[in-house]
Amino acid sequence: MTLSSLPKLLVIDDVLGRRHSDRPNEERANICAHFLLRDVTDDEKTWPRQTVRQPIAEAVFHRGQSPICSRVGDLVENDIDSVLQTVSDRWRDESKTPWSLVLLDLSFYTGQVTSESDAKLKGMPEGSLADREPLDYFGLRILERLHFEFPDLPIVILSSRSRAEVALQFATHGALGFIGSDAEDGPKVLAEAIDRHALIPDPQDAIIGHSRPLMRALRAARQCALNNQNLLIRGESGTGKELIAEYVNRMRKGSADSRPFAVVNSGALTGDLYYSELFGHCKGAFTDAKSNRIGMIEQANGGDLFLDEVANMPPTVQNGLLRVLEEGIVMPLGGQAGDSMKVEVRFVTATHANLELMIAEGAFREDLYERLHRGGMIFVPPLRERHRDLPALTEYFVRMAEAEMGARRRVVTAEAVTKCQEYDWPRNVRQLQNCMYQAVSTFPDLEYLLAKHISLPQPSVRRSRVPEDPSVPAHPLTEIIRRLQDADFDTMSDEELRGRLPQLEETTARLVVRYLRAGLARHRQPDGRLFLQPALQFMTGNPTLAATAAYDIVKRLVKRAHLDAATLASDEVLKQACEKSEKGRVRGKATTGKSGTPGRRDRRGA
Amino acid sequence: MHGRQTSEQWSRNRSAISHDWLSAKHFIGRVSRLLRAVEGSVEGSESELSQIQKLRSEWFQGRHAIEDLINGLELAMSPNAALDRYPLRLLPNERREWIGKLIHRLWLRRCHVFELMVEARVQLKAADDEFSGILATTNNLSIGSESERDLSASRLSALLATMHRLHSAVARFPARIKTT
Repeated sequence: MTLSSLPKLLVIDDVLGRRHSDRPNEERANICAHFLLRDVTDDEKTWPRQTVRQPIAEAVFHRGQSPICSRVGDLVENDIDSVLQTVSDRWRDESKTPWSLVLLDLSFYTGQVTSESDAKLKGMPEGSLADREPLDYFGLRILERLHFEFPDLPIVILSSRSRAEVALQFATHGALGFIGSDAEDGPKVLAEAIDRHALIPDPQDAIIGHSRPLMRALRAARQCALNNQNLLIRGESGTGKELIAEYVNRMRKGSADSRPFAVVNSGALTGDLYYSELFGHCKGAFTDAKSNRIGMIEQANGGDLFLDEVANMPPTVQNGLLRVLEEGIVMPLGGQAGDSMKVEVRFVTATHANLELMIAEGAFREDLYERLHRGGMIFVPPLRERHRDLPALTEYFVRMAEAEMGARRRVVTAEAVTKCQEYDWPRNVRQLQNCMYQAVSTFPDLEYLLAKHISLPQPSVRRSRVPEDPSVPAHPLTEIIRRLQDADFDTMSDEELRGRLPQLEETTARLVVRYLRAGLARHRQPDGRLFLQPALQFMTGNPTLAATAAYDIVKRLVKRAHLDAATLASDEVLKQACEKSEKGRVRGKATTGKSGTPGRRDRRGA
Repeated sequence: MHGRQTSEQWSRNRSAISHDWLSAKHFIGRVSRLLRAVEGSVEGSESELSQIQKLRSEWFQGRHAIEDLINGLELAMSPNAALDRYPLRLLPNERREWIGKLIHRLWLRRCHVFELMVEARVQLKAADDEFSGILATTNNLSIGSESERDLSASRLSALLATMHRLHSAVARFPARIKTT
């Protein structure tokens, strides 16, 4: 693995993330040497760093507290905002490779740095009892927030604390694993955690790209590769399912070179021919069977067999394959009892079809389906969700076309890439490849590939503004909002559009009220009381929102949703919110006139 | 024998050793780093011999803290401390005395306290021996000399393994008094 393709770790740890003004962080150097990490934190440029010759990853260290550089007399406080900012900087910026994995400490020591605590560990406070209390660990708070804000960010706990004390909490809040930082096999465990949980590109670059949807698919493939069970790869046509199957075969540890990988091109096969291709046949089994033939299953014995378009498999072949999966025995077409052979093959199948629907319609065997994905399912993302990968893919296919056609080497301009990024690529990577080949063959002597040289089969569909990563939802609510924003009514028929306005209005209003209810419930006190102002400050993101404004918002939203009295009466949160907004508004007017100063009760709540 | 520490003091010391000093971030990490340097997988500005000398002085300070921790375990973490607190402290003295002894004996047996202490002492002694061996090898070497490269990776590897075993032994000590 080259340095540039090394996994990028974010390590959030109070001891490792702190900085000294007069010397490097010793503990960080120790951990980097212990785990073979290359420190790429940009806070110690003035200090000579140790060189780790064959690092397993690059690491950026973050204290999670302020100040980062603390001296005797300083008060060290936990700082969750700086953590969120650091994560967000790399997670949402498309120009940067996203974090592969976050390693999170549990216990963060807070308080004043004293001479005594500084002598023990430079710049560190002694820490309070609460800092050491498992249920109060700041690391768990960070975990909860990160999981909420960045649901698909892979996080693993790295701590010297006891796993048992927080096992339930770390799992509940979405951590994928726990590494004891002091365990003797720590480096091995970290390497395994990276392999299992991190979002990392293909080190061999056979699969190009570092978008999060692609790296999630690669991670699923690595996880499937660990077991020897059958797996099913799903994705639209042209997304590269066969490449993923090869990746699974490559990633299987210890046997990458020796494990056979056979591919059955089953798209054009039907009936006996399909059966014969898979299971082989004996001489005379059918008219053209002039001699015995070994099938692909037997050829793949001890390795992996890739079967594309498994949904096209005829029923007779499905029955035969089920027998192989159940008994591990292959019987060639026209064979007798003595012709059967015991095999050990992992079946990697792929399809773009809706197999579940086919099962419901009786077109595919359910028991076969169950056995085909016993080792897992991998979903390969369509190209339209791999916005980040377009520059590298475009460049790659242009170079390939130039080499094959002997065309002049050209610069792929930003406008050409942008044009590709604005298109939806319904036939995915295969279509992109064809498009680039066409551009090179039509204009073999160019120095610059411009947008006008790229011919797309239909007008480009301008996608959303893409302020954030356009890949599959980092956040469910973000995805809902994005889908609503992107809803394109212009292309719909009259039939679809007619009479939908009342329904649309009501649906959006009710959606907003459901959001309001969730936000209010989050700020409900244990005794059931609601404080509207802090809840609305939270929901609007406006920390200075006045109480009267909060009452107005609640009233406006509830009114717009046309909630009837019965619905309101049955929902304790909304009922209380309505009552409070009515009373509070009246009191607010009576006591504050037009200034909008919060009423006494809500001020206390805030 | 040292005076009885409170369970809070002892727990704090245990945490300071197990989670802070004798950890991959600190002492074990330094041994590991030195081993990596000797193996050639990590290159720093400090010579190996200089690192050994620093480790030695730090070890002699740290080992005493570990020794105190081992010696203090039985008295500091016995659940009979609950008899000194409300409501059990209201019991008559003679009853508290025999109940306290009983609780203590049951705890020693149930939690294998002496076995834990013996194991930690064995590992502490092993760590001392490993250190002595390494120091004997390096005593006649000077900083920067060619022969300091001869420092055996296997010796350091053995020291690191011993440190991990010592750490595990300390980590098995109870972190708090369990009264339920």
